[in-house]
Amino acid sequence: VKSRSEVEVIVDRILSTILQIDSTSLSGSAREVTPSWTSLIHIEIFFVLEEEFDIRFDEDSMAFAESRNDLVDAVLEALS
Amino acid sequence: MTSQDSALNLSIKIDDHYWLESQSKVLLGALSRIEVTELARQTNHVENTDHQTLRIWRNFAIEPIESWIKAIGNYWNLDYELQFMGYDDSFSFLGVDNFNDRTIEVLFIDRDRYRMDPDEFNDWLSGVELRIGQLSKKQVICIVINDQINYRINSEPVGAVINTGKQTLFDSRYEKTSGSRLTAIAYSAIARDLAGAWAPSIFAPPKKLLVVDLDFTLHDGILGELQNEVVVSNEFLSLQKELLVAKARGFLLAIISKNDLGDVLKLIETHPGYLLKENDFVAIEASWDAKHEAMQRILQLTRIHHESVVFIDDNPVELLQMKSIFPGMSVVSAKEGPEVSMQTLQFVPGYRRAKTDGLADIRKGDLISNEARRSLIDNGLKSYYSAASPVLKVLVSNEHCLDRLVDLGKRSNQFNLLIRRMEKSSYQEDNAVFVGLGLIDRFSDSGVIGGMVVSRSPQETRCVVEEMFLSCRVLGRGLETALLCQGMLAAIDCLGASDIEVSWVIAERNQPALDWLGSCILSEVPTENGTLSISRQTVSSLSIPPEGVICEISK
Repeated sequence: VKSRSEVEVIVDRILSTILQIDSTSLSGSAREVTPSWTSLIHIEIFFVLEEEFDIRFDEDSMAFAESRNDLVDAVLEALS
Repeated sequence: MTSQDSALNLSIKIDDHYWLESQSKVLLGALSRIEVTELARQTNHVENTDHQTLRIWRNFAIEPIESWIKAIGNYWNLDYELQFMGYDDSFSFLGVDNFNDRTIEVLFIDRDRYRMDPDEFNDWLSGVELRIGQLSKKQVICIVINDQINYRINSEPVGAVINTGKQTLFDSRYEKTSGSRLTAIAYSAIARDLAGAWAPSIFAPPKKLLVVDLDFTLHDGILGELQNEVVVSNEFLSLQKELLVAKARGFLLAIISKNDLGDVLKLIETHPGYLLKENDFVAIEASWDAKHEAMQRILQLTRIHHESVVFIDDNPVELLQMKSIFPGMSVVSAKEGPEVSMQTLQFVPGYRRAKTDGLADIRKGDLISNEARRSLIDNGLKSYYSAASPVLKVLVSNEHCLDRLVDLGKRSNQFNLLIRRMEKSSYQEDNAVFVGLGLIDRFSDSGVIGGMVVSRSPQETRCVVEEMFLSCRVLGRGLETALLCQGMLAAIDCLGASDIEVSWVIAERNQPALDWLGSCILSEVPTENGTLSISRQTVSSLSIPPEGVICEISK
């Protein structure tokens, strides 16, 4: 079982690689203010998260996640 | 190990080893997506890259293929750029006119978006493919998604990916987010097939020769005096079957093994599990020489450029040494077993082709006959002409040889003056004639081994060579000049011209064509692109075949 902080570290690493942004600025990052977070990168993020954590998101989690914190919540929910 | 081998070992860098070690991971989809993202952004392995644009026409989201395509491209030094067009269910291609040689048109069609019945859909799809094919004057790749992933090139099905227990291609959970039901596995499978196989089948020099090691590559165990130490398990048998399939598709096969020749021949002929036999190979190089020396001998025998070769071996040092001597050669590691090497082979650019050429037997017959020819030629060309009675064949605008000519024109690299890779429609233009060139002698019928397209110039008395090529398989018989000039002469007469304009380009691999120009047409081998006008009279005098050689011209 992974803690929230462990999940945050992995999610941040993934987001900084995919979005090509500095990991220190990720905690507050939201889709609407991150130009590289396009709708098609959005699905790429979920592909990577499912692979990294070996989980399956439900349809709504993917469709409505709008920020780094939403992603962390979605991962924790899927892990639980 | 020779001192040359030691020097080669030193020249192999750590990143070369990493490149080889990661081969199956990259090509068989075993990288994580985050690794793919990172690899896609890396600079290429060497600076010499081949730039290709894939223009994507689609009616659904396909962008997740991009990182995989770039990663595979980086692996093979192919610089892929993807140009995504807007969603369009009609595939009308309106307003687009910037078609060029460096762009391959790729259609992605989700079948579920159409209510047509199967026949209606197929007719519509063929029309779409025809339209973009006519606009681009190139082969078109079409990927249709229904309950599987189907690949077509120029309307012909060439392959498919199906849903299996191991790989789920579709998942409706993704549809709301991406507009497509494709899974990550499906995107990576499409990217690997497109970047490693189908796109290169259009632009990359085709592979022609597969050279394989024996121990731990074609069989398990070490061949020595005791054959019973050699085991051909089902996995190795599958690889042997794949090589036979490749042979049937037109590939030549050869062996390079550090073993005694007698042991190798005995193994192949008598081992009950061995599917491949001696006559499946154009060359069996079994010796204790360095493998690159054996490869050099095979290249000389087959007259195949090293870029058209795939070398399969389980020893990374042998593979990297070969690559350091022949940088353009593709190498496949057999270290992880025959199943992996067989799958990896599928993603070597130039290995898979949309069509088989059906010419393997002709090519092999020619090579086998070369031994007999060589012994005559060693006594002088005159003795070859008198004993072998060569016949030059000139086929003027003969539709029967057109497909073969178009194919040969696209494949010929070494003896090719202009390398325009013209499509069939350009051969058939009203103001042009195409000429097929063939060669027969007592030993073999080499079939159509060269050709040219000649058009009428706006200056009525002049015609222009648009394309001219010859297979290197037939060089060395002293007949190139007579054959090519007979072809030009036939074209000049057909177009009613009095002189012909011959142009050439300096390309990476067409030195044999430039050498020919330097020895027969120009006073020296050209070092820059150029054009020369030659009178009919000069062409006619150069076209006279040597004594003992006859020429047949037909339409």
